[in-house]
Amino acid sequence: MNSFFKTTALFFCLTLTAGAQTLDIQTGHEMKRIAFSAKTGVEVFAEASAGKWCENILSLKIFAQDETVFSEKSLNALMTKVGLVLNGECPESMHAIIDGYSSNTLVFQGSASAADKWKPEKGTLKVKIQQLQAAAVKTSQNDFSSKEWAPPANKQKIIAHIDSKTALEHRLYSKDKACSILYTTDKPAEKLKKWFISVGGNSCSENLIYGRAEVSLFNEKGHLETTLDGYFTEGRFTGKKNLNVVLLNRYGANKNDQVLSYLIDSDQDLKINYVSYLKSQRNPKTGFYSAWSGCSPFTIAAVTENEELFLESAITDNILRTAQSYADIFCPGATQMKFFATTVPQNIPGMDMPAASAKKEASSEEDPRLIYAASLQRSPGKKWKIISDKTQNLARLRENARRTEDLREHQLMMADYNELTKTDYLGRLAYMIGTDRIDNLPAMLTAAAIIQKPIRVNLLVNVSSLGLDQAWADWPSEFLITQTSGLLNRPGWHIVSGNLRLMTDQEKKEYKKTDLFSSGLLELSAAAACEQEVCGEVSDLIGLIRRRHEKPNWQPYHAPYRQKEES
Amino acid sequence: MTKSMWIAVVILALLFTACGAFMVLLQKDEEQKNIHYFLTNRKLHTVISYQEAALSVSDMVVLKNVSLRLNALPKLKNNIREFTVHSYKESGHIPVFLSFTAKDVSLRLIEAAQNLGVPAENVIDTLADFNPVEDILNAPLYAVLLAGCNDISAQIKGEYAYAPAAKKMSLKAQIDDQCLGHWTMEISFNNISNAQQGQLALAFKHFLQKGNPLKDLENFLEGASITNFSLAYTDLNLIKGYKKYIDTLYLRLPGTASPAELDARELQKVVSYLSFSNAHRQRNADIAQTLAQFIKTPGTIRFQSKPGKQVPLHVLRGTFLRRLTDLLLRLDTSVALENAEL
Repeated sequence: MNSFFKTTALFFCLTLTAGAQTLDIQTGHEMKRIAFSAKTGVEVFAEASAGKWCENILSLKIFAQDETVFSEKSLNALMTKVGLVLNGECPESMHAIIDGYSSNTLVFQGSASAADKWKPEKGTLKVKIQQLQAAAVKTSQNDFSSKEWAPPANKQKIIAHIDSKTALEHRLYSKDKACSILYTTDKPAEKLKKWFISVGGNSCSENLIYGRAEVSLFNEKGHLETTLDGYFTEGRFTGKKNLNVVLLNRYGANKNDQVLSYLIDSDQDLKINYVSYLKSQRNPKTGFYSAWSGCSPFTIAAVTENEELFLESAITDNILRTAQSYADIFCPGATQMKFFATTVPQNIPGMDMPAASAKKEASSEEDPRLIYAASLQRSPGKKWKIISDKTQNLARLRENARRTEDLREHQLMMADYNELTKTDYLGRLAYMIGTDRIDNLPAMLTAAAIIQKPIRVNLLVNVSSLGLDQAWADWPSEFLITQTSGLLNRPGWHIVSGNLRLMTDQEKKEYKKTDLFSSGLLELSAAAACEQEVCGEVSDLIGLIRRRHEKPNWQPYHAPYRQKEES
Repeated sequence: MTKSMWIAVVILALLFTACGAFMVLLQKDEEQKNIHYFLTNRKLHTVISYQEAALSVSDMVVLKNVSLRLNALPKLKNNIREFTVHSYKESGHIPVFLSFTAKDVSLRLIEAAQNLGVPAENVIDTLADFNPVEDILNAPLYAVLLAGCNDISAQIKGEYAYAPAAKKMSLKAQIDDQCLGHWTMEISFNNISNAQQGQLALAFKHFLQKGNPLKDLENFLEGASITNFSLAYTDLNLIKGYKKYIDTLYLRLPGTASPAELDARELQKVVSYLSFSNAHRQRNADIAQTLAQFIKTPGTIRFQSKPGKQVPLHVLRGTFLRRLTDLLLRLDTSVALENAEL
């Protein structure tokens, strides 16, 4: 044991200086070397963000001279030692995503976790899931709710929210009130108050009937209307289907289609709630509604805020496989399946609303709540297949659109950059505040004197003193600025805009100005304070463009995504 | 003397005084008529007005409170407190000598600019994009205004001499103004025919009357040569004011060098520019250095052509600035500073 620690100490002799050395690899991320071995030619780096490398989920890069380092045996040994370092240097780390390089070529991808004693597990998908998991953690911390909707915690049974305006649902009791069902019909509520049920084959232990039962419905006249022979879920008749699920919502899509949603499962890792639907259709001839059914087709929604999941084909396939497995559990005989990924679990045409609505809205813009939509089908006993022409990866479309927009903006910014490299200081100042030019005070005063009218100007000035709704500038020369309230609140360098004119005779007298060119007066309409003297910040061309376009991480020369795509 | 004699003497004295006064009045009336005739004869009486005129025995004409109605700027207010023609001579109806002085020539340059009738947008654009070097020649009035000169109150002296037989003409001018500074210029022309002399007279006339004085001047110089050129300029506020303008244009901060002053790079540019006209690089470098020094510490600068040097104007080519440069270098003009620290 003692020798093991010695070896470890020798191997990682410099781990105490972890963080002292950094490496900037091609991706532009900062890297901290946490361990190395000159003997075996291995270096282990942790990706750092804002100087901090120690996180719950680490991103490790292992650089080795020899590819054999990534053989299962060698890597196991290496990671055991790295684990010791991590236990000492970063005890809060629980997972590590590993990229292994040999001769600067990616030769290994995998992951490891403290729970498995840092034993590496090979596999790109796993790595990507964990990366996205990490992204999801960063985006929504502990909040696992979706906009406008949150699933019940721990699959607790909830009272279905009934939309009384559209949900044609009535509670019908047995004569002794011991049993009840929730019945869907469009008959008048007044009459239904007088309807009653007779229950056979169920103990009615929870009042609302659960499970197998044979329920006879009698109308207000005591005549038998119909008999519901089959299974009930929270009092709703589901025919031959015995569902053991948490019902969420009960609402009417329209008079002919009624809808119930239920929670299938919640994936805590990927932060996805899987929701499916039961539908009940009205028979126009009889006026009765069918039993609640959800298998033709089986419609399932992956409710998540993490749109990025669907940018990766591997992840999307994985989620689709999960959905298929739910189809096998809840509707083993189903041959049609509709899958949706969305930020909210309801009111999406095609998902829980009639397909007619989807057609109506087809011409309008895509629903921003929808992330992904796919139709799947299978022959009995065969695997599910995606019907490609009915598949829409809206997340990717939006991402592509966003990237196109980013590229366009990058091109605009590059054009600005190229233009500004040729522009003088005043040109940059003008760019900073989004005007055509910065004017010269003597020139504009001369012009104002010649045309005998105020002139709209943008000037760089140094405000020397502030008064009540007025200020004096001492650079480029002494002149008065009026109407400063709310616009100028401190002395110093500013770019000011407004109407420049010559003082009137009365003003000249008041301010003791005799010379034509010292009697300028600016009626202020806008002011931008400089960060540095003479707005020196415009010397930083990249910073200037970043501020103008509100892109704090923009870099010139390289188009965005190129590095990512290359890597 | 008896009392009667005394009375007779007094009466005679009064009579003589009355006669004298009457003669003075008659003479004054004659002077007025002569001056009016002179102006009317040359159709200048509608554009030159004055309050008072005097013609001395020595033929010196003095006009007081003169104002001119310039053809290009008819509404420009101006006043010459006293305009004196010291001497005027003609030979065969050709003016051969004129010497004059104008005291307190006052006008406002802003009013001159206003009277040019340039549309407001053009004024703003020209001044907003004003190039402090190139536009001095394109828009000299704006350049002077940007230097801070507006109220002009100048003293002007002028002398004109023409020898028809020798076809030689010489012009001298001296202008003193608190803002524009002191200018003294002298220039001689050879090969000026009577007709060309007439063009010069016409140019002067066309400043006041309908016509194109620039066209007249062009014709006046056709086939002429220049010799004996000298120009002395003492800066009072013009260069200093223009430097201030350039300082604001290029954001000069306290404690930093004025961007108006020529640095080594700019100096090299000037030398290169001069070298296109004359290959004498050392002389060009000296001239550039002198100009740079003058701009740095404006005092008096003097340009003096080499005696005997003569340059026919038709050999000069290119832009106005290039022609001027060529001319000065061909005249072997020396450039020297006075009252300035070197």
